[in-house]
Amino acid sequence: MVDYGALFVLFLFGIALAGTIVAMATLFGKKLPNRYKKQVYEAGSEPLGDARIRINVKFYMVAISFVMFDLETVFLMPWAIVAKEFGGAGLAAAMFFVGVLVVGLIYEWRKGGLEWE
Amino acid sequence: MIGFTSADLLGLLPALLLVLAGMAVLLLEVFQRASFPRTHLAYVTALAALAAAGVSYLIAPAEPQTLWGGMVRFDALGCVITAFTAVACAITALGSTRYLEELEIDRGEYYALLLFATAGMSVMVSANDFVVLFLGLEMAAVAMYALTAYQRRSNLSSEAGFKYFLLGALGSALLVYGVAFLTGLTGSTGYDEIGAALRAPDAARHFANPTGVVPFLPLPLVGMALIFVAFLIKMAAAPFHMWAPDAYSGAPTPTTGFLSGAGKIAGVAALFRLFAGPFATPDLSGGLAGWTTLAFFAAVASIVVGNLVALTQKRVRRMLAWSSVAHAGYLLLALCALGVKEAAAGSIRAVILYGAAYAIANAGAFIVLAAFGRDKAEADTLDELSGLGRKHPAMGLALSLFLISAAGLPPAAGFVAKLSLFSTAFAAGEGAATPAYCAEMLQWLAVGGLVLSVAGGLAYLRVIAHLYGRDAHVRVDYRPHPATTLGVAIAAVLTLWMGLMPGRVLVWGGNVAKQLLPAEVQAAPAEVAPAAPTEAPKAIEVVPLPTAELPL
Repeated sequence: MVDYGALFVLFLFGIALAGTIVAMATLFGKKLPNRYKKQVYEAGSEPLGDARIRINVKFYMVAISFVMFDLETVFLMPWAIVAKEFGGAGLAAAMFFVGVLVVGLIYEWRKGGLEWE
Repeated sequence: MIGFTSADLLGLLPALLLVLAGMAVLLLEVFQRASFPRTHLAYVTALAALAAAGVSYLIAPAEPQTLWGGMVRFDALGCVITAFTAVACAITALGSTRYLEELEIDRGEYYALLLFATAGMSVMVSANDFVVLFLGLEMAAVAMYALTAYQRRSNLSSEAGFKYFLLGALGSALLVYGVAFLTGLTGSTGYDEIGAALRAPDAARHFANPTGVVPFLPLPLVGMALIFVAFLIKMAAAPFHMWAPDAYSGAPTPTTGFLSGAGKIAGVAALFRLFAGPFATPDLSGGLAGWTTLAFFAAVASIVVGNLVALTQKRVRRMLAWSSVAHAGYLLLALCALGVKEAAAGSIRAVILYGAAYAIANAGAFIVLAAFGRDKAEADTLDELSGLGRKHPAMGLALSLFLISAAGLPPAAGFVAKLSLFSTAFAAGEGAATPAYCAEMLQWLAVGGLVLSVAGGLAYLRVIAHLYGRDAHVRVDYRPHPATTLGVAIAAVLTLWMGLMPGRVLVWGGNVAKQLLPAEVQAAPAEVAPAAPTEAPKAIEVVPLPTAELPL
């Protein structure tokens, strides 16, 4: 349990720091509200209306591409840490994995998945 | 543990070949003009699949080996099932090209998905670890969801894909949940380790009450039951079959044959590995009383529901979908017989032959159906098929052969397969199961299954009767294509070969049995056959945990 003491201190410090910054901004900050700033999503999404709206399929393409590169990182990071011990066989396996992803990337590129319009 | 050897790679060579071919097909697809027809990709796919089948035949080891640090089992079961699913894949690919052109969905991804699904099945049956099993299962399943929904402008196909996906995801979740139980209890995901832990002398006491909180819950049994139900969902066995008729009739016709045939035999093969491996009692004689009881009820339900509902169907693909539920039941019947040690080897031989016959003939039947069409759709009702056998004798004859095989009549493969299946199940009734009445029930199931397969047979024969009916349908015609002809020819030759000379496949089945079953079981049949009941206490002593809590 003692080992987690430092973590707990960090946790408290994090809360205190974030709380202080928010409190200072609320107390001393300049407030210039307008219609757009008061909306729920500052990104500009429509906050009211039917939840079942059509979402452009392009966003899914972005998400899928993200997953591909994300997975690559997730698998290559642990391998990179022990790459020396894993030696040639590990390198071959990692390269095969990257190769499979590259095929996926080529496929996506040729299918036009990387173009926004 | 670090690294791998060439032996490791050799063991997975067929799957590797299929995956590489799938990637090659994807690349070929994207570097060609969209207007260019994709027929050559069907040939590439068929060639790769047949090569994978040939390779798995050639590399089949004389002794089972454990590869990849114990995660993959390289033995005859994996090789035989890989070979037959790959051949079914080749037949499906060849039969698809004309159909896809007609529906204007002629794209290379279709063939890549077929290859990936086959590779997944190959990995699944070779798994010796639940993580690898799950990997293979998902690889096959995700590809099959996409194949089902492949006709994306059709509402029916999208609906089919979505239903299949939801139920399939539920199945996968149940599998993982079950594995979590077993891994939590034994501390491993490996088949060998889990099997050893479950068979340990004090396993019953240890596992029945690991926490002291729930004193009566046999947790390993809960895990096994969840895993088993997951496979029942994937195989579309009753009472978990409700997705099958919609998914099978909405999917592109050629894929339906592949999904229902190859998918089923890969699933049942993985179950056989589990049953004969980690979940088996040391001499298998306790099997029927334990979770084989579940297989028994699922088999009864599937055979009854599948055959009887198939009789009422007006649409051919729906009829075949329902009867595929019945076929899942027959495969589960063989699984029940595995629980009786005198019949264990026979049940494995029977399931290999039955699975091979079913996968090949089913793929063949669906590609012929896909070739019969009108306008942009395929022929579906019985009336639309009427007279086609007279108009196109060769295709009519081939379709009749495949349906006869599914009905279990000579000279097609289905006849020998059903014969060996029912005789094994009946023989299992003479064996020593605990409790003894289970074996007797198996005999009744064999007799009842036989009667119901006659009922199911009528559904097939009705289609044949329509094929040779007098009033020809005007708008439906056969769409010829050399690839279709080749695919049908391969399926027909194999169906006849297995029907007339089943010896070779039975020998392969025998090899599988020899490599799959523990040594004690194989020694058994000759000596122990008649006077067996005295053996029962021994089995109870070893694994008593499943017996107590079941409804039986």
